[in-house]
Amino acid sequence: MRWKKNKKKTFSLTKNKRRTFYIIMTPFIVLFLAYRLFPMAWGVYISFTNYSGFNMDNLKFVGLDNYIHVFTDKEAFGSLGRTLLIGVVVIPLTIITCNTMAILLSMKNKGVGLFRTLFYIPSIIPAVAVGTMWNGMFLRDGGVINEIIKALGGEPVNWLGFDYAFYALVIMMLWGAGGSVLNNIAAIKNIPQDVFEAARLDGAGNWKLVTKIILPLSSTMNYMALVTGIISSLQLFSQPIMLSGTGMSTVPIRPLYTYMVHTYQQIFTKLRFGYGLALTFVLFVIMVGATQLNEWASKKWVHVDE
Amino acid sequence: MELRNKASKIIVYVVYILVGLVALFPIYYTFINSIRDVYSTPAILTPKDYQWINFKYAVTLVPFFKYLKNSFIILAISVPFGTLFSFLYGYALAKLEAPGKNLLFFLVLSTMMIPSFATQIPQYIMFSKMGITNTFLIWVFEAIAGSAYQIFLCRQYLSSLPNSLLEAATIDGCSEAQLITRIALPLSKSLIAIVVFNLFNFNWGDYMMPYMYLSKEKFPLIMALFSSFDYVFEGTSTKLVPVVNAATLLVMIPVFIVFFCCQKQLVEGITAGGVKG
Repeated sequence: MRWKKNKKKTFSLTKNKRRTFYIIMTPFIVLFLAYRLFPMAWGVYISFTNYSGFNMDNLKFVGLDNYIHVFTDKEAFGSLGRTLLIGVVVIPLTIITCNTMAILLSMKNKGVGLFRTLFYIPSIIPAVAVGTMWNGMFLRDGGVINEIIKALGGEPVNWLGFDYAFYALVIMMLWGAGGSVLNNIAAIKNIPQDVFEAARLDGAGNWKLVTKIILPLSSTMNYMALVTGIISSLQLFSQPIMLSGTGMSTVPIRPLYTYMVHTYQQIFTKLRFGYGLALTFVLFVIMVGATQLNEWASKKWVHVDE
Repeated sequence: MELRNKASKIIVYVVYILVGLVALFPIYYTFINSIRDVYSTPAILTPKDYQWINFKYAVTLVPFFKYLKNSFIILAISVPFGTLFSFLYGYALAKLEAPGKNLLFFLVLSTMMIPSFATQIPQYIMFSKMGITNTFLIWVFEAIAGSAYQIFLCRQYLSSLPNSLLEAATIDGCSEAQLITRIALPLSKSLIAIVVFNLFNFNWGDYMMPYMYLSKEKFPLIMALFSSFDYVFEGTSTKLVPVVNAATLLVMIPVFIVFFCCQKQLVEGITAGGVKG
């Protein structure tokens, strides 16, 4: 008799939970379908047409033309290569910097909280503001970087010109790279202190502690940093524009002309919506591919807690 | 990991200080170059002049307060509503059970992997066809749809809330809604601080949605300051670098204020179980 009553109560409880769950999640489901999924599907459809903003009524289906154009458009390919190169340089350097700093900043030293904040601060500054700041630093005449080079007896260079803009961009992006350091510090602080002590007793030196304990146990964080790094670097858009220092309405010079800048040019200046969307979805497929590859490769190096 | 000999400790401090200098220098440099004369050459390491009037130019040469008002409208929509919905979704995915839950969690994760532009660009084209661009409606949608990363963060954090606590409260007569308002919410102060900071920072600095959806009249501050560097000054349109620098610093101030308010939670709170694997 008694358990029957209990069962009834649990049943109404789970029913309650179920109802609450659906009430809470309804707006999410509605907006996911109407606001994210539907526009995306519609965008895929448009990418197979010659839509240019005004011809909705006599839209022509152009088959794979837009997609074929992506692979024959020199600008698209050049900018994709450039974007990939920036990612290949910036992402590893970012991860190395964040791990090194996380190790140093997770030590129990006096004033470490202050330095943790200092290292983190550049990553919270809006990208547009970062671009403006570094545009001033990189000025050919009177910019502080060239002045320092001159003071050290070197030849000043045109940082924002064709030959050096790439390096300027990389330097600027590394300055703001501390965003994931807090995650890395959290990962290191989660390691029980006695693990280190035991390793010390076994005669492990600092280097061993880093390579055998800290890095394997930070691998989940580094995996996250890698995935988000790839996704955001393929979408690189505002940093190069802001670095070139002429505002959003102008086209940056070649070394700063990324794939997303090219896509935006097609859509917002040339009104080639169909082609612009084809460019968008090609990048989307590349991104999914990169993420999958990453997922597969991660099995070899990401440490999973059992 | 602790270092035991003095020499290596000194090296670590040297690295700390160097990194601190590198982090702060661009801000300092922008500052000393915001108070030089508008027509002078850049200052290098020390201020050349103290032309505080540049800050006044920065807020008067463009309709600064009108743009600031637009920024506040965007923030007033996206921060409170974004936090509320992310928190609720995170709670549902962490602490409630229902068929379809795993599918929904997978959808949240997949929106995290879908690059924003792949939905944003078609959305923009669609909305401009429907004639609902140039309103702040899009930020309402964005807040209710929830940011995948914030939902994930909330879900991870709330998963670490002990179930026994919620069960005990149920036995004491708490309804499902009260479990959220009386138990989960008061225990999530640092989570809320982090989500508020993230949403504030993103929406304050975001240029993409305003750039696509709004006309110049409705631009938030960041767009107004950076869509063009040219100011109409003394009758001519010129690029006034010191004024741009002053504007850059002004734009950074709110970010710093919110950061220092949430700093404790950001620096320590995440460790408490927020982002675990």
